[in-house]
Amino acid sequence: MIRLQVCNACKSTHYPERDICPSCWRDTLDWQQVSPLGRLTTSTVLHTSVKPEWADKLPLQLGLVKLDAGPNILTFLSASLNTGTLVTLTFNDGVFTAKETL
Amino acid sequence: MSMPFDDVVIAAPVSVPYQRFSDKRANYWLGRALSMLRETSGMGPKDIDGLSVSSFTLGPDSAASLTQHFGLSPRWISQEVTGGASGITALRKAARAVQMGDANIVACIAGDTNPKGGFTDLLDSFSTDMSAASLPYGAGGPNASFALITKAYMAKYGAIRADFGLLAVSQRENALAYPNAIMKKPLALEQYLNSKTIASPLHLFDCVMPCAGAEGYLVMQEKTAREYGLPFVKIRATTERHNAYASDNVQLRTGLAVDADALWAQAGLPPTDMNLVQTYDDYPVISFMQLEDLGFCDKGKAKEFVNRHDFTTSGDFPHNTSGGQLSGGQAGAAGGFLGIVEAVRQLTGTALGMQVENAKFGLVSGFGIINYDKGLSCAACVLESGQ
Ligand SMILES: [Zn+2]
Repeated sequence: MIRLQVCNACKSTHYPERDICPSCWRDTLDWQQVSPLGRLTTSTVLHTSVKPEWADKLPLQLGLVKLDAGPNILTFLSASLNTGTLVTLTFNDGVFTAKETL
Repeated sequence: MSMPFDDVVIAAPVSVPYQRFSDKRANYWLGRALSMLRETSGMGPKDIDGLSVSSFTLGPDSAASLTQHFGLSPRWISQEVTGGASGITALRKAARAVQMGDANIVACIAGDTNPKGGFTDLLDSFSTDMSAASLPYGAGGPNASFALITKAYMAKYGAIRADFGLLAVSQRENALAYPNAIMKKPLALEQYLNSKTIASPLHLFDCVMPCAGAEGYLVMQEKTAREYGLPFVKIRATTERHNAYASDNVQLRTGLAVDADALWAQAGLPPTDMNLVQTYDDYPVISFMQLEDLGFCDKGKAKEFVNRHDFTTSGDFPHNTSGGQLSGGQAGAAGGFLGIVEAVRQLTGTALGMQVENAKFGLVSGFGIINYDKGLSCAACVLESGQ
């Protein structure tokens, strides 16, 4: 499971962090465990970064994942994956990584 | 439908020549736009009673604090926050202010500085969502976001890199005639295809070069423009939209698709009547989407459209006639003004580069504010030569 904001009033799930619920405008967002499952919708291999601290980690596999819970998440990929692959997200050190769901 | 803009016009298009890097403040670049507006129009601080400012690098300054900085005492100010759409969103507000008598002459200016390392600072302060959901993933910034979009677009519609290359190559040809363009060398399709990868499928010539610079124009009543002897363009129609299609998984369409029919209805013209088109080109894919969403071709068919037409200034579909940002450079928020400023020059017969012959109507569109997965703001306007 991963932790995202879920609205106690309308049950919608949100990412990135919101301050009020964008679906119903109530102040009822709560951090909850949600399903880490989703589908890879597109990907890229990043060869340049605007920040020098990333230089020795390039190239990086990145993807956009549509979570079953709703939101889109830009995430690291554990390997080169095809669009449409079913993936599972994990959250470590402040970032998400997607790997193929087995 | 929106009300027409009556006799409100745009005049005095100015471009402060861009520099790759600058240690000067944004205030300098914006101030240079004002001094060029004065040189072009004869209107100075005593005449300008409206100020619209668009900039990412103002730091603690605002349109309000800049009034003292620039010796203005306006009765109307506005600050644009839409980046690549700001040239048109500024126009929409300024034109209504003039139309309703809240200002007589509005100076609309956009500019940014770019010290070494400045682009990284700009991204760090760009938006909460970019900081939370994009930069922690290798800090690719807009390159990463548009790489994801471009790959999905290619997969869905069958576009290939050479299709995007046609756009970049034609704009470079336009830029070679435009004295302010940062890029001065010809670009062949082979070079485009063989350039280094930035974020697959984006390569070097798909990406803009951040630089320092400014752009500006004046908004006033037609009779004022005539009094001062200024060439002008009329505003046939405008539109803007933010956060459209929020539930799309990947951005393959812009908010322009929501409002295109209303735009052309207000203009009373079809897309085929346009003599020139300026799209916001921070990456070729987004120009493709603007052409499709505005109805110049069917959805997904920009690939065919760019192969079937000549996008150079002397071609049958003059597009980004100053070279756009891809060849001209991206001076921050001024990138959102480049298209409208160039369109006003073309439609008043005052092109700095090659002139589109008999240019009567022009379309300008803008796109901006990419958070992490989507660009949020878009806008468009249809302009008509006052000649
Ligand atoms: Zn809610």
